[in-house]
Amino acid sequence: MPPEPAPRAPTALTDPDTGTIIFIASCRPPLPDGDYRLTVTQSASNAAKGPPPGATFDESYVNIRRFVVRGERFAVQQAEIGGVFPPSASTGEYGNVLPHVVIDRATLPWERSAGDAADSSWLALLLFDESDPVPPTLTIQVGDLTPAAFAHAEGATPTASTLPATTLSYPNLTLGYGEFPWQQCNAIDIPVALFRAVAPGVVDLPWLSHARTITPADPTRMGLASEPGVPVETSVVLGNRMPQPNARCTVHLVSLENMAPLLATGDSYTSVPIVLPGGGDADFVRLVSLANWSYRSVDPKQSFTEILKGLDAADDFRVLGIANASTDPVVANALAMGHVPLDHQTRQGSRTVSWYRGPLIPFAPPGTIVVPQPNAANDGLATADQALRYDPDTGMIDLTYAAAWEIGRLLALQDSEFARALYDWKRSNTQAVVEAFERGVLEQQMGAALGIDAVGLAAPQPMQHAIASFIARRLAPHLTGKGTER
Amino acid sequence: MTRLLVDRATHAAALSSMLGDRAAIVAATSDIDPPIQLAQWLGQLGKLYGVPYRYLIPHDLLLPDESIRFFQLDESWIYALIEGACSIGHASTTQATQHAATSHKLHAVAQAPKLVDGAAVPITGFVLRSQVVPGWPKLEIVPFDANGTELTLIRRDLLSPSILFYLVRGTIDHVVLREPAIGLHSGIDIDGEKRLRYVTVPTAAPAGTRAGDQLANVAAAPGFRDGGNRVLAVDALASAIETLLVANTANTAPDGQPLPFTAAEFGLEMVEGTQAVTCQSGTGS
Repeated sequence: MPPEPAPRAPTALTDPDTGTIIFIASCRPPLPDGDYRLTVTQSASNAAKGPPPGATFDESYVNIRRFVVRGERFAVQQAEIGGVFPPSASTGEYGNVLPHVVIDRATLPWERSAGDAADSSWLALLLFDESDPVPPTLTIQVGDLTPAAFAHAEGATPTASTLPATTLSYPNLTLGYGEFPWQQCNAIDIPVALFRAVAPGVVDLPWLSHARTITPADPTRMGLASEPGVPVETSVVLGNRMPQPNARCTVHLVSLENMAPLLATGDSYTSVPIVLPGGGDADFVRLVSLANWSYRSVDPKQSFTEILKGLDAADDFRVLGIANASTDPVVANALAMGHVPLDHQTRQGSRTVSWYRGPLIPFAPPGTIVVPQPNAANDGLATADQALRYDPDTGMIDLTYAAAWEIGRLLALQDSEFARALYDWKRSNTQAVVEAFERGVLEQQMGAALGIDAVGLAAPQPMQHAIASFIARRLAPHLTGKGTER
Repeated sequence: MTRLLVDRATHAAALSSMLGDRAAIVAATSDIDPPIQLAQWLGQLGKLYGVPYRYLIPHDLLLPDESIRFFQLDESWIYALIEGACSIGHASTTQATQHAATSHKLHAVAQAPKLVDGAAVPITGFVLRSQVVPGWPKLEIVPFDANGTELTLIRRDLLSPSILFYLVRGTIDHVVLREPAIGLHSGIDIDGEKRLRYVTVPTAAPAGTRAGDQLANVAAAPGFRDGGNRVLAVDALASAIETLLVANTANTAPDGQPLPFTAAEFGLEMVEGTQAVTCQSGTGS
């Protein structure tokens, strides 16, 4: 017996080549969010020299139209979050990975501004460790971002905001068109010291968002719906903090709209005072959280490659069968070929154990159908029991094909539309047979009279031709009285 | 009158014998094809849509945690499945005979989606049970046969959040599993450095270098902000990368002038390459 080849482990591929990715510094919308006023002025005057009295005029016509460009501000649709990394709720070797979020709308990061000189993205990723601790996510109303009292429902009398006295939120926040203080949003309250430590500095802001245009070579490989060659436009927001090893961490996608004055300045990250509107230092900073997810960073065995390399490689991955060391050749063969012994409750009510094998088998099947056929005429299976196989040597029954037949039947019965369509089709077959029979009888009975013989059952034409000629040549003369025959 | 009764009895006998005559049924129904609705439903069933998981993988030992299993599709099993589905409504021998004479059409439409140019090919595939399945939802999968030809996908589905079912036309030999390009992730290298990538490829670069490939032996040293919070000094890292790229003429216009270094270039430099793994099917036994 030749020595068994060593199982081939999955190997890392060195040359991935799929389509193109274009990195774009920023993808700014043509019109930023806001209220717009479009004024059209038309002036008309009589420009002729020395116009007669009464013919001079000099008038202006002004037309003003207002419109609003609305964008997301206090919440983003979850469908726009195209993906996060590290994956949500995953555990992996992420110690050196900056978290990022892919947003399916390429312009979203630049639809508002952090308020710095570079007009940077208003979105930022803040990573929190268990030991920070992670600020709890609060569900608040938009009005709770300001200290003033506000209406908690449409038309309600303003009542107090829940913003604590020592918490600073977005300074000078004003609501735009279509934004109401009673809208719900998520927020986190971050202690000022933590905010200073982990929030990006003003100098970092321009680096942390960019856009990507991806043109996959073959979108079906990724299960994407888009056509080959059609680019997928996304924007990416990067975090600026590595997770603590062996700890659970949570990442919040926060809005830093007009918060640049509160961020640390310069390459040495000098803190700036964070002062409440009424004076005095703030203890907390409240930020809108647009999305959040958490993951766990552990040992380096959890990366994509390491997970896949660690896949169970038993028997060349080939065998969808149970590895076994049985010395009984029947048992060893059956298990290796994918058969599984399962409890079997027989029709008589007794219990036994029978073989079953699924449709996914570890070897190349013969090209022909080998389901046991009840007779040589290939009549198909009328009942599940016809597909039972019995091994007289071991006394074991093989239920494989009987089970397949039965599940097919149950699936068909479950779908009433299919059952009806199948019934209609079978009835149309029966009707075709009956019609063919009727034609045959008619031809037999009338064929002699019509002067045709040996007409096929399936072809209607000879019969019709014969009738037509009978009417024309032999019947018509009697009916019209013009006949000369006989 | 007597003759009529005799005729009727004769005809009834003749009709029932014809309904039991396979050749006659085949001749009478030769041009009645199954409607599209039947064809679609049976085509889906032929790809095992709707078949419960336990019928596909009858035992946990067949597919342990963190495993991949290649398989061939047992066409006999599919035959029995389709026979079962088309068996409903049989109450008499006549109906069974008619079914036997016409069922080949139903089997043909069930097989139709799995043919290549009208010819039957083996249907193969694999089942992957791994953390990779929920972790990388847009996982890129490229199946190849033994000649290195890419195979055509028939079905890709999750049987459970962590079990991927993949069916192709042809005999699968190996499959490449790749991190999705959309999920390119960013970070610094495990050894704490940041190796750089070519933004533009200088003439001095090794032959075959493409934009985005890594420079050999050129790495920036990422710095962290004070306080031990592992917060990257992003702006300083960006400046360091820019300087190194210019020094290696890896971000340079054709006229030799340095190109601007923006968030786009920084995004490219921060990318840690996606990984791909090949799983090879065995040769079978």
